[in-house]
Amino acid sequence: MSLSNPAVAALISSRFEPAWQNVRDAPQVTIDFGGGRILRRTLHGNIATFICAPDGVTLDIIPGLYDAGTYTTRLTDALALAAAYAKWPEEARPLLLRNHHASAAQRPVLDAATLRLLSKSRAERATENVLGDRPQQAGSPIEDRSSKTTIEIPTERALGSSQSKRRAEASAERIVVAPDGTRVNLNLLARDTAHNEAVRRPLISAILAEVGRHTPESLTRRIYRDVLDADLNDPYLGLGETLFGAYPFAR
Amino acid sequence: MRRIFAFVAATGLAVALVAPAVVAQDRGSTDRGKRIAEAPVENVLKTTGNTTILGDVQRNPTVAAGAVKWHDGLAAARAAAMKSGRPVLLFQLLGQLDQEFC
Repeated sequence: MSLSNPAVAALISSRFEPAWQNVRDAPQVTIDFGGGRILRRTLHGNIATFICAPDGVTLDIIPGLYDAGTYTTRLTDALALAAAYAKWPEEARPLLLRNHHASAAQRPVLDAATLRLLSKSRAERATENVLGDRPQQAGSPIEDRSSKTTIEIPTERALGSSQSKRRAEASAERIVVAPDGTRVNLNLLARDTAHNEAVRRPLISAILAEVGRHTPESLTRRIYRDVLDADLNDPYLGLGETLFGAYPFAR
Repeated sequence: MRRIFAFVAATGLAVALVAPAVVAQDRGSTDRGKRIAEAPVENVLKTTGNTTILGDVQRNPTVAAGAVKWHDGLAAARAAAMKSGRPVLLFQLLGQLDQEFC
């Protein structure tokens, strides 16, 4: 996670007033392979970073997982927006903020490199990759605690890997280990970053361009439902069809 | 011939007496084996609580919430922002940032 990156953490701690918030429990999957081999991990770990002015208004939202470099760029942009917002006349702030996001929503974010990554970003992650983040020694009591130590994966990726061609693409991993032991698959992270930049950021800008006073409280459920594909009102987070749709004995 | 008839009759009687007890025991058993179709996933999820998780998996250790110096909640961050003039950064997630499994 970018939060484990020392430069990102230093930027957040020194330039923002940071807090974290649990919006609901994360779904977990546990697979007991027998013989003491139990794999457990959380799924659908969607996140959102809200940047708010001291008056509580949401200035910007960074949706999902990002690589540290792009995340830093987005945070720096948000700082510039916050500085500008503070200088705007108070009565003009809502209109100027809406105009800022309206223009951002129309600004193309796709460059050639992003397009290349995005063409692969919908590839579902092969099951063996889900299970194989951490090599395990035979005969030892094993528990794969990979939930927070690797990038969490959406449930549909974990459940839906059926095409061998996509599997071959997704299996090309580039694992790096951060100083705190965090294992990051750079290829997956790059694809998530590209998807967030190309698809989710324009959606965020369009929402923030709407009339109204946008606070985290007023936006959270909508952002998770419409942008992050995780309906917080649904006990299955909108994944019921993925989980049960093809099950032959479903009642 | 009479012996064979007596054996068959005795076997039948034994089955008739024992079978209801076996069925009753089977109904109360949690292990329904392979004789019925697997329960739908949603039924499994509805009836399966955390208590089915075995062994060490029940532990949920606390972990460092990244390297950021977090305020204790959004209200505290907002109060600090009013004083410092810095923007609030609210990191939202599904689960607990400071727990291994959440």
